[in-house]
Amino acid sequence: MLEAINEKIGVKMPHDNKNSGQSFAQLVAEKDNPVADVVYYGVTTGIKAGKDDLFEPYKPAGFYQILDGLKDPEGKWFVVHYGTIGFFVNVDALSGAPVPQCFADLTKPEYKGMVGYLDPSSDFVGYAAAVAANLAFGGDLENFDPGIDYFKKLAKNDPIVPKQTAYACTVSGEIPILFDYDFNAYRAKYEEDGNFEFVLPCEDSVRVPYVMSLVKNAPHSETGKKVLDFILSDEGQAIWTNAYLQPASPVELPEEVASKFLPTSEKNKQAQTGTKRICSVPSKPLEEPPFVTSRQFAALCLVPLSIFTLAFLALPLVRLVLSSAEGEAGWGVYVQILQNPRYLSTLINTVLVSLAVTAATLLISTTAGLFLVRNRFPGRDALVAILTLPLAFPGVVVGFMLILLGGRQGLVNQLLPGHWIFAYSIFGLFLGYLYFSIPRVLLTVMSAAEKIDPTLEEAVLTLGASSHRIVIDVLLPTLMPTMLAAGAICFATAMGAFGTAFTLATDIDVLPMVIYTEFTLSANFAMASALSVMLDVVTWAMLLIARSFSGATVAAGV
Amino acid sequence: MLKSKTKLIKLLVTQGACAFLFVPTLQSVLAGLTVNYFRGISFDLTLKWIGKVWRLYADSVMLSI
Repeated sequence: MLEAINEKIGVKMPHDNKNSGQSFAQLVAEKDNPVADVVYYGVTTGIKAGKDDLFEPYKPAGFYQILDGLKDPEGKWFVVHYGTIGFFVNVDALSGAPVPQCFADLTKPEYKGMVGYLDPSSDFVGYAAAVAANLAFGGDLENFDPGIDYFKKLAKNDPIVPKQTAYACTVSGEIPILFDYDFNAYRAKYEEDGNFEFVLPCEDSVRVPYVMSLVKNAPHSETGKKVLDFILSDEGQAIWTNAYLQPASPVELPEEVASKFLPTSEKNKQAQTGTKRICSVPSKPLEEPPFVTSRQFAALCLVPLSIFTLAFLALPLVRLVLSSAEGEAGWGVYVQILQNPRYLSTLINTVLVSLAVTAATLLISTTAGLFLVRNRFPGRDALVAILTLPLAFPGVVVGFMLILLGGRQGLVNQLLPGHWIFAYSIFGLFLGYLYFSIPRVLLTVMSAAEKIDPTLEEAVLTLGASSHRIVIDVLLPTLMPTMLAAGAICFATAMGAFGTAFTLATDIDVLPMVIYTEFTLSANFAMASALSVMLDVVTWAMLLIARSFSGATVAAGV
Repeated sequence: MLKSKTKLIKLLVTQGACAFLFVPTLQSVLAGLTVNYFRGISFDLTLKWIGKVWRLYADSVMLSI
């Protein structure tokens, strides 16, 4: 679609994969000075944003073709295409189980660990899937209990709950059954190598409109209007169908495209089961979030940096501390954190994982670093190269590698089939952080170890000490300051690491993830700030303890 | 004797760390060259992903550098 827009009307649009919640947070944050001209998202976000006066009303050329109820009468938002919720199934990854046909099938033990759905509070697809399951079991938009009951039952079957679009997870077989749109399933079916199916649940489902809008005070509003005109033109609408999206206006589908959608009989079934439109009745979409300003957003971005230097620490911390009290609870937000078992256990989890990672990294990196510095042998350079290779990998890539190693289709699970999926557990997170930290600590230790005078060791050896004593009496005291510095960086990084947790994120609750959820998804800015402050204070306190403890050790050693 | 034994342990730790860091790296490289990651490398090797990635993300790669 973006390519076609570039070609036809000469507007280059950036690839921006933000999901609806994130787009909304950005729109609110940039309200007075937006970067975007047009936005695209799920319908409830659109209605919410329309109420908050973030959009400029605009009626593109094709506006009158859209049915009433599927557009804002003033043109603040309008439907550009649909998606139907169902199961996106990787048939080969089912391990022989039949393709599920109903929501009810998925709670059976044969689909244990195979079902995935996006976090309903995070992504619109997830929300739509929750609505679909709710309708399927007799609920409506006022009564969510049947849906909640269903997801409770499903929870016993170990579902995977990613925060963001999980197309690749299904294609790769990590999530064999995903609650997703028909267009994603069709894209896989016709464009990927493999055996993919789209299943319309036998109970019921929903058809979800996706909408676009012109952003209020847009920097290039004329260009934005041109883009919207094109998208609603017959030509633009036909392009959606090439991506397996059902267009908003009733254009004639090309033969080859029409044949790819559900066959007519299936479509009748869709009609008979009363596929409901959830567009015009989202009486209670999501909670109305408080406003977030870009200034506060900048403060939050500085959190990881602030851990490292006091200069950077001071300003954002002050701002963070102040903004944490701006919520309804005021300063009581800290009491809330300490009284809420979820936040408290998350905090403890984060500290424990970080401590374990620091200890393991120091042990492995120091052993390997000393060995590599003290011994010359063929292949040594290759080992050093391998050990420092992952330095440039961001946390997200590390998470991806962990999935390659310990995921459902991972190497370990293939070699030892059965029960070796560890990528999505807290142990997977531990390994991810370890992977991230080893090269960093190793380099530091090696550069310090190279400066140790080898004659010192020889002297001790001549005096008859065992090699064991050399490590304790010579090497460790000399390396102690370096190890402490490296350990501190390692610990602080693990405390604040986000990418790895985000990629693996299923049921892992570490503090940075919770902060992300509070900020982006719930837009609960005061709580996010308060949690950031807690993260900072705890990390700081731990480092302070380590430093005072080390002072004694170094003094005793020298 | 003790020295060579501790040395052996150190060597094993070093090699273990290397394997831990390198195996997933290798896997991700292979995943980038397989026609279908799900069916594994035995299925077939291809360079089509490299071309696809370059077409889509060349701008981003340049920007990062």
